[in-house]
Amino acid sequence: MNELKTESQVLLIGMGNRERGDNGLGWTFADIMNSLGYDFLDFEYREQMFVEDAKLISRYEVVIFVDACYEKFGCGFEISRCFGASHGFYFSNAQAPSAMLYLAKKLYHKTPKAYLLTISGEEWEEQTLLSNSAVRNLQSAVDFFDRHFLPSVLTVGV
Amino acid sequence: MNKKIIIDPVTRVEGHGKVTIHLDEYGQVKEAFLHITEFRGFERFIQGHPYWEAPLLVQRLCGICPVSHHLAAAKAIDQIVGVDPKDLSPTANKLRRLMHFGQVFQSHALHFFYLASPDLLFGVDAPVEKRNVVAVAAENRDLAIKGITMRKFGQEIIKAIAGKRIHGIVAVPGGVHKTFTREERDYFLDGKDIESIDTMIAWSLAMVDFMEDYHEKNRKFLDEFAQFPSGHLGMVNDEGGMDLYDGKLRAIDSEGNRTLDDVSTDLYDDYFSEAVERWSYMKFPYLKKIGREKGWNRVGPLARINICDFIPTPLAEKARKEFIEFTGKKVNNSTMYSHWARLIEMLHCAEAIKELLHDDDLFGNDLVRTGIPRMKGIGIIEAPRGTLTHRYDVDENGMITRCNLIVSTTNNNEAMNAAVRWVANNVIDRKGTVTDGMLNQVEVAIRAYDPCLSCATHAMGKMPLKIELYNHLGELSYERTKN
Amino acid sequence: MANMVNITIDGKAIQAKAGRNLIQVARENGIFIPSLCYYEHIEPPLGTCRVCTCRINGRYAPACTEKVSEGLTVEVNIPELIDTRKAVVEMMFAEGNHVCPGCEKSGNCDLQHIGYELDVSATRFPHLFKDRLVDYKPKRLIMEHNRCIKCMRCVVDVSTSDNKKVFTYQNRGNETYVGIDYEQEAKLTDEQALNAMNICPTGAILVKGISTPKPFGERRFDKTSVQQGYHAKNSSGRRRSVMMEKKIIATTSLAGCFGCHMSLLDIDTDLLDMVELVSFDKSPINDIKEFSHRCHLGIIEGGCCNSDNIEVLRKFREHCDILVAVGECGIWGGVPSMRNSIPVSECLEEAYLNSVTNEKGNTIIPYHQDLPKILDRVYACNEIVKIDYYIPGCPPDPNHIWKAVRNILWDEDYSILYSEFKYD
Repeated sequence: MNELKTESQVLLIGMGNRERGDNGLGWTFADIMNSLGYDFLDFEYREQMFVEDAKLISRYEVVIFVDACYEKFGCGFEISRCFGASHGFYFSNAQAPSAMLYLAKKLYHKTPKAYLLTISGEEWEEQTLLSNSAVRNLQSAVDFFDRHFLPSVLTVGV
Repeated sequence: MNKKIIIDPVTRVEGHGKVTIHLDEYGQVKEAFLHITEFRGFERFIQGHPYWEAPLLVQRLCGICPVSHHLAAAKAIDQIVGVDPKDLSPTANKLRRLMHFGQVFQSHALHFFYLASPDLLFGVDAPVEKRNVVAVAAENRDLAIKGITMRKFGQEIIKAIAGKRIHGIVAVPGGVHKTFTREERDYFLDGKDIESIDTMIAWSLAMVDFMEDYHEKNRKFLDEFAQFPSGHLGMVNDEGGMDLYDGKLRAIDSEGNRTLDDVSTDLYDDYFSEAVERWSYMKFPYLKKIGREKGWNRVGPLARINICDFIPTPLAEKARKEFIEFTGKKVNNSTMYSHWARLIEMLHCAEAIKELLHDDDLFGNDLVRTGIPRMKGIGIIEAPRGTLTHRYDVDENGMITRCNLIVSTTNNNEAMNAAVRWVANNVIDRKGTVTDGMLNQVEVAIRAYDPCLSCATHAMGKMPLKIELYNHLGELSYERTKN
Repeated sequence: MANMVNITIDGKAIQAKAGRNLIQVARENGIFIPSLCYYEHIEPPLGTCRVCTCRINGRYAPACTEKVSEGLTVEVNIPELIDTRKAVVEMMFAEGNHVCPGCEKSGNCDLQHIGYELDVSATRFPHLFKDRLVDYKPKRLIMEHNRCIKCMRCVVDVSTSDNKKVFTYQNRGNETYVGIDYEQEAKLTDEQALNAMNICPTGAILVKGISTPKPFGERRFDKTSVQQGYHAKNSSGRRRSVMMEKKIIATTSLAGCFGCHMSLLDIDTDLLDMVELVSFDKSPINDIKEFSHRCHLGIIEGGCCNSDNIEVLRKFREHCDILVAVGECGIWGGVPSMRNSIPVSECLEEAYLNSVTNEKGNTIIPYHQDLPKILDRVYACNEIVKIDYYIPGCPPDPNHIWKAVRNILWDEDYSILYSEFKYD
């Protein structure tokens, strides 16, 4: 594992499974953002999150979780704020982002600003390719994220 | 002006209780109640669990008599695996009996020394500061040491067999899972690390003598205080002698006539019913064929001495004979005699423990027996406080589908209410002022039954005793809390 | 290929064969990395519990999935990590319904054991009290889902004689569930069924008819810790100092069975010495029914199951400087909280309407102005008021209670033996 770049303030976590069609949207998004070379962004890839990831996210000021979803959105994706939640969580397999934030606060007393970017997917069969609509949604998401979202997150008291 | 006296909580008992006494405008007692205010829901939440977990869970009904529940549940689950009490191996049978006598011994010692002694030694009107075990210890250190050591002895017996003093484990379906060793036996006989069993017998005898002495000086009080007719219920062995672990159910009325003639414990639900009152979480058991009003029975040491024909250990039997002389060999219906009866039983337990300790069957290795499984198990035992009934119904997988618990003190519910009414009518009725001493007497009457109120409602917790006085319009007009 | 590498664990330089498991290497070098789902023979390691989290090369990560390589830097005993591991175990206790007092596996349970080793007395997370299935459908086994920690060991380690898997891993996230293939389970031999029960780290897999195997004191995790130097100091007898000021204690049993109070009395004749140092204010063992002084310490046994309990508990918080919750019931609810997944009405109906001995046609369920109201569920004390200390056990060992009390009141040396720290 690599040492963390301590200068970074924003962590982007791609979530999902590349072997199951559109479930790989999160990781692919992270790949694309990574290739843009921003040095303030750190990247992580996860199939599921574990308790040590609470420590990881507690080191950042902003955390963005990226995942595929079943829901259909007009523009193909949705970005929302994500907050810590304490009920119904389970500690290991596939901890939800809200549970991670809850643990970051409870164990390490840190409350990073968190967002959840969900991109609509359509086909979930066992394969490594994204469906056509997923690719379109991905493009829209990358576009919006790079041009509008990131700048706003960085300038507003990060 | 009508008043309601409230005593909240009853102290120096296990569990929570609340007394309300209603007086009319002349200060005459109209009604008195002992409210049991706790409920846990045991009979429901144990459903769905495998039957062999029952002895572990049910003993958490009570921290003073967990062994009673453990063994009653054990007897019930024995039946589920097809083993009746007579089918147990000698080792299992005697180990369970030894543990039972140990726990009755410690429970009686606890009740007498820690809970009841302040009333007997300092009088029912003594000031609050004196009415506790610390004051007893300060006045009579020797007595305190005896009391503590006797309780310790009983607890150590339990620990040797169950691994822990409180909430231990020994029973498995069909037997026990640990045998006794010679070292353990010698520990209780040689008097080196703890007082020996002979010392326990001697001290128990001394306590019975103390009680006889107390009786001589306070005869009228003991005879008359909370004296009222009632039935009595308990278990006896095949010869009609006292048996705390297993036997047949026998009940008599206040004159001594048999109302339940040595019936098998397996038939308990043919004979008993429980009534429910709106004002108490504790139910009211009674004999069906006699009916609610007169079919209730006292249980516990007084009842057991009343119903048995003899006690199978010599010194206790001698004490019993002296005891029954005072009522001309007739049934004793005076509440306060329970304390004396309790001490006789304590002596009996000590003697029985000694007998068992000398029995080599304790060291056997045949621990578990099996039989043809059944869908229902009933275990009835004489707990320190009286007849305790456990019943479990299971399905073919061993899951508990139903549970019925009639705990000892529940049987005494009506009796305690009768005692409270007696004190209300004879001590509080038409007196201008209600003093602290009078309120304590209400509690003294309750305490004589050594109630285990947590057990009785299958709930954990204590019931506060508060005396509230309501007038005939139902308005609260007087509140006195004992302090 | 004996390729040796250099690593450091907590600053200690260690040499080990490349590719070996980090937990193994640590243990061989005297460093204890706590673990729960790690089993040597399972490769790759399950990695489900995360109890073994350490700081590896600057990052928090599980130690069980780490193979040693050149320059590996491992930190085990940093305060924050020690607390994180404790939190992971506490999460497990809060997530399921782990009632140690009623469990066949108690004393032989890995979850319980790790709780003892890590000094877990209470959980900082709210108990979920979820209604979980106890599955009796299999032929020989019972799946007790209240106790399953989803470690997945059974999924990997249990097969029939013709190598078919018996346990299955279903759903994801909060809905993760260990299911049973009933068809395959029926093919298990008696021995294989027993093995399944034994390999489960908790009491989640049971064989029908098998109850508690061993008595107290003879179970695997009863007597000694696996860590060297665990609570090594022995309590060196009572140190009576003339400077010890007499303190006032109040006690109460809320929804408790009184067992913790009985345990208090189990110091036997030492009690006579104790009463020189403490006096009791409101307590069930005397006739003081309301607080008459401010108390230094309040000992609470039992959780809250009715409105009266809450009132009393709040009064205790008001009148006592320090509150100690003693016993499982007070700490998180204990045995009475087993009713939490059942509606109160059902409990009442069962007791008063449907019981075997109830009168036919009885429609009365107790409800009266003089009876306190029953709460919707049983609450732990710390859900109602702030509790300062916790002493676990059912009941707690008397020495444990009094050592804690003496430490709280007079700052006396406090060291609890492993054998005195128990949950049942």
